[in-house]
Amino acid sequence: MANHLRFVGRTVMVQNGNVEAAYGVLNRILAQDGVADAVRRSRYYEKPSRARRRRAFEACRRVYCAEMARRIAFLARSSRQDPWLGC
Amino acid sequence: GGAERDRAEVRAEARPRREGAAICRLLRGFIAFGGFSAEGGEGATSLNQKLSFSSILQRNSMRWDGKVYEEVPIAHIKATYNNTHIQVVSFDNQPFSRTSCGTEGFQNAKKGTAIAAQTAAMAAAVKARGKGVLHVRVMVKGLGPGRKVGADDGRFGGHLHHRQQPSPPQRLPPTESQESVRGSARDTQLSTSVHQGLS
Repeated sequence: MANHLRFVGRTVMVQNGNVEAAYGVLNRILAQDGVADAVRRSRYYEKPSRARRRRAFEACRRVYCAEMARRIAFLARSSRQDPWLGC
Repeated sequence: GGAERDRAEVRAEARPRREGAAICRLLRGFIAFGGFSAEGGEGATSLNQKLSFSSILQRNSMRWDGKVYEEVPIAHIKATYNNTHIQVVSFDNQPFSRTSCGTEGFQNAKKGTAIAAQTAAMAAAVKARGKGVLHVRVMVKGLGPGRKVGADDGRFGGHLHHRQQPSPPQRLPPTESQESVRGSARDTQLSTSVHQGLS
């Protein structure tokens, strides 16, 4: 029925009456999908020039953060096989 | 059940019973229901993979007060920044109760607070409970102080909430963002079985 189609793709089930957990799940999904950000941003109009700059900035930031995380993870390796085993 | 199966086939075998966030995005992706715009990459999946919503739940055989999912009443919560409206409605849009912060006696700025939303939620729940509503599907619209509070605190007035459908962008134009949001409601689906949580 048409009444129910609007729920498809939009539902988080509540388990054991635990509404807070379900709400957390919901928020996490919305955040991961960028929906929450988009809504917050759209409360006030964002000029196209600012939007372009923001997207470029976020792309750069993403690259930078990924690279930094990669380097840190590399340096922070602690448990790894001894490359000089046997020498 | 009895829902129209215009998108019929259920791929129950292809889809595991426990549906996680990945499925969620899949579902959001490839179904173009009236008004939903297709999303991102997953929107390109084949048209054969359509899902009949009611078939899933018939297969699940979950019941609330003996009602199938489609017949559980709905609590609409509209949480704006200045106010929170709550209306409990049956599945065929027969109204049960309607409250807002203003009907609870708050005025002006105080309506846009979480406490006011909490009061409104409890009042709505009590009224609906008086009409025999025990289980509710919660549809949340908007980002405001009453968003979480309204959803949670209906419980204290006497409802058991059973699922939440968030629709944060109440005024987001339908084709605007990459999330392809509807004008009125935009949500994510996740049916979690009893044994599976979302990590």
